[in-house]
Amino acid sequence: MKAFFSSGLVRFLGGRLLLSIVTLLALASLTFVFMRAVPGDPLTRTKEIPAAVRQNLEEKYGLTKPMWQQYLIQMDRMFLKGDFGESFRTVGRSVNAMIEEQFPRSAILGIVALVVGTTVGLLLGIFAALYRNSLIDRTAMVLCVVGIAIPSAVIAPVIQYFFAVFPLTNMGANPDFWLRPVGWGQTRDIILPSLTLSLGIIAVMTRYMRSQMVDVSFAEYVRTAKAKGVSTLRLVVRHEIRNAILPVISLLGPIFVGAVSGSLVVEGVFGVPGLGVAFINSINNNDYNVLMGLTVFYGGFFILVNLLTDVLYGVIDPRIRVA
Amino acid sequence: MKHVSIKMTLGLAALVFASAAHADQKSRDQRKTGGEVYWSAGDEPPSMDPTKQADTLSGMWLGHMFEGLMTYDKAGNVTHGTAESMTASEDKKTYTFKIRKNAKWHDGKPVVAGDFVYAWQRLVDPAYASEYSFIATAAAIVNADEIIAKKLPKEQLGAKAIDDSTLEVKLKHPVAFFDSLMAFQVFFPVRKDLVDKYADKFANDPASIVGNGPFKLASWNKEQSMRIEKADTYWNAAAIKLKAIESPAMVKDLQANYNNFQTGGIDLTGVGQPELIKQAQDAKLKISTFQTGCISYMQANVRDGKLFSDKNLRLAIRNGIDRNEYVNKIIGVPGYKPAYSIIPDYMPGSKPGLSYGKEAPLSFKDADAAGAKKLVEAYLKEKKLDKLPAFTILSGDSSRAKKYAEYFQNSLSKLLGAEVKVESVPFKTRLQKTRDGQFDIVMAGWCPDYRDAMTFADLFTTKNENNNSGWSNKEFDALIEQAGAETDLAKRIQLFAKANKILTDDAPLIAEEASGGAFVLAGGLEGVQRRIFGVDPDFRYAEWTAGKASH
Repeated sequence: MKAFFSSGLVRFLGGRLLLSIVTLLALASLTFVFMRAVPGDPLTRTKEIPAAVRQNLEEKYGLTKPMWQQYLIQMDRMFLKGDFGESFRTVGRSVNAMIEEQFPRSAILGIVALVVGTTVGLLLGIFAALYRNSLIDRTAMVLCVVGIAIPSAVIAPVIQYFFAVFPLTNMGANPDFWLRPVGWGQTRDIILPSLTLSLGIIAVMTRYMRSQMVDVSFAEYVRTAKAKGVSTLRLVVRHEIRNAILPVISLLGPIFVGAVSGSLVVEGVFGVPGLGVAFINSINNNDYNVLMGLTVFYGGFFILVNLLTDVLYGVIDPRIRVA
Repeated sequence: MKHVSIKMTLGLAALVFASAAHADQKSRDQRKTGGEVYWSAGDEPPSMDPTKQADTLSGMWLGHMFEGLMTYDKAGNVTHGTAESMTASEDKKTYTFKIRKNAKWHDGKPVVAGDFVYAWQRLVDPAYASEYSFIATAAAIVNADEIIAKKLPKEQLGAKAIDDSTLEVKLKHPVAFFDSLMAFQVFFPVRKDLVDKYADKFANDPASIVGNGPFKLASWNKEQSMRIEKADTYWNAAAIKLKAIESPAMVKDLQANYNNFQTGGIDLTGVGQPELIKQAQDAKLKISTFQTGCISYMQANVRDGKLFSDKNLRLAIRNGIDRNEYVNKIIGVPGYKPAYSIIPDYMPGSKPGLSYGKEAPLSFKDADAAGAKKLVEAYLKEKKLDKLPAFTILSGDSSRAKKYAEYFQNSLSKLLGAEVKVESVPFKTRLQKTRDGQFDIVMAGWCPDYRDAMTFADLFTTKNENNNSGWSNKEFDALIEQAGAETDLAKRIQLFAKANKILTDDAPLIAEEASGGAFVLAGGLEGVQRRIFGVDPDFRYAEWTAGKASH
């Protein structure tokens, strides 16, 4: 461990940090360009705003300034002042407040889903590999394909119905304690949306872990260990799992970001006031500030998680530690 | 690793829920006893500042918390609100309102004429830039246009406080529907002291939202929940039965809301989808319907060089499509009705109790495939073509919008014998492409701003910013202009009827349906009003009765 936190790491982190900033700036600039290339602007309404009124609104929002000035103003505000601006749709709602209040809700769903999904997925994958071609294995694999193929837009209402609506309406479950179909504010409200989100993670993790386990089981060091008479438990835990799990760890970053940011359907169905729904709305509304703010925020988040994954990877696998 | 994750998770959970104020959901029986109603607002209200915007959702909350000079009674007629009287001068160009002596703000201060003057000056103030300032133009308030265009200071607006209880409004010309405009949210009063005190945070900080209506704001968790409670300061508080109205979650998904309704989480929910109608029928729920007031239509691009610059082709569509099939089989939600022209039947006629549709009916035989074929053949012969060139229907990208566009794709390709494509794009892209004239046919719609045929009739005038069809007709323009100035209501309706006939027979737009909706109410909840104008849904006259509240 000591050697790991060496100047090498500092150099590595420094380099990555610099790269991250460049990436974020590029992301923000591209978003700015694309956002404005989309037909319409935040003031495009079903009913055209009369010209004189529109002029007044554009001046108020600084949309009459030349494009390069708008760009510089927005970049300056975001990156130097840390202010993402205000929503065009919801008057007076700051993007910073949206992130502060709504992101933790999305994040908690993502974290629970990740923990549950990874734990279950890894275990399933290990068992499927150990008993490969058995009934367990085949069943697990079929379920995985189903889990990956069916979108959460389909799964979420089904889960909502069978775990909340049906027990409450047909089985006499007590609504004071049973899972609510829609709602946010009580610990029980985390369960169904996280469960929904975790299904996809379980599917991906199981498949990946299984194939890694199978690969590793043919590796020479496993054969050597077996020949040396290592006990089965020790063989599986120390040699197979430890080696098989490495590439799986690298999946955690993207999966985590996906679970946290890609939960918009789930949020919509279970009534979670998270950031996913806000993101989609901002696209539909051409809400420049929200769209830009959330893109940069998610981008930064993705970069950070990837960085952590890489560091974590180094902790677990000494072979790829950066020199 | 896992331990750390679990700890982090628990920690974060505690953090998230510590900040969540809404944890005490009441059961439907408790709500019934306590006189509370839960519903799902569907979204965060775009603005809680009455003067800023005029969307239905913000209007629902604001309409319960504020009250204009006039308001709507239970039956939907315009009645006195904060004003106890409204007097019009002989020439109908000066209105005098007397404000009730017992009209109070939620903090106990009296409502004065100056609160209205301030709100309306703010409405037209270019620096404030209200999106709905143009409604002051519709109301023809003296100098409104000039102030919006920065030619006059806002103090020159034709609305004056004679004393605290007397408001005088001067109009450029008589406006037939002026009373209903006075019930509209952008004409609600606003408190200058609160705007000054909260500045940028006004209408955003819950403490800054002080109304003069039957309900006051109790809590607002952004993007999560909102609750309003009965205000004892309201002049007519004795008539208000409910104690509280709350949206415990702001959920758009209709199926999720229906599930929440069925498990007792909310007391009113929309079932405006064929699948939900079926579920509600299976559950033996009483389905109520209402009209949204909006008209959906196909708008043709009649600019030179465009396929639908030809009137015969437009008429082939107008006469050929089967509106009943579309409404009943494709939309499949009760409450929708076929529409044949842009002016909806429900608009007021020239006398109380007489609707526009009764007074100036307009319809024709549709689903006439043979007639449509003849029109197309005439076109082909004239242009010496064998077949119509392909064209595109521009539509929105929601699953519903796609379904409707695909129906017409199929229907028009049969009627016209042409290849029809569908271009489904996001909402604002569709609007912009329409504005830029980049379409053959676009699926469009229009909802009323005020309670008068004019809100639809002037849409296709040459000077209207929203007329994107390229259609222009001098006779039509002249008729609409005459109707705008006509004070004899019967004559006015006839002018609209004449103009509407010209528009419908030239068919730059092909009306499809008058939109509706369907909803279900918890047993025992009565008096909830659905409205085209004013607050929707309107809970001001609602109450729980002895009926059984299930779950």
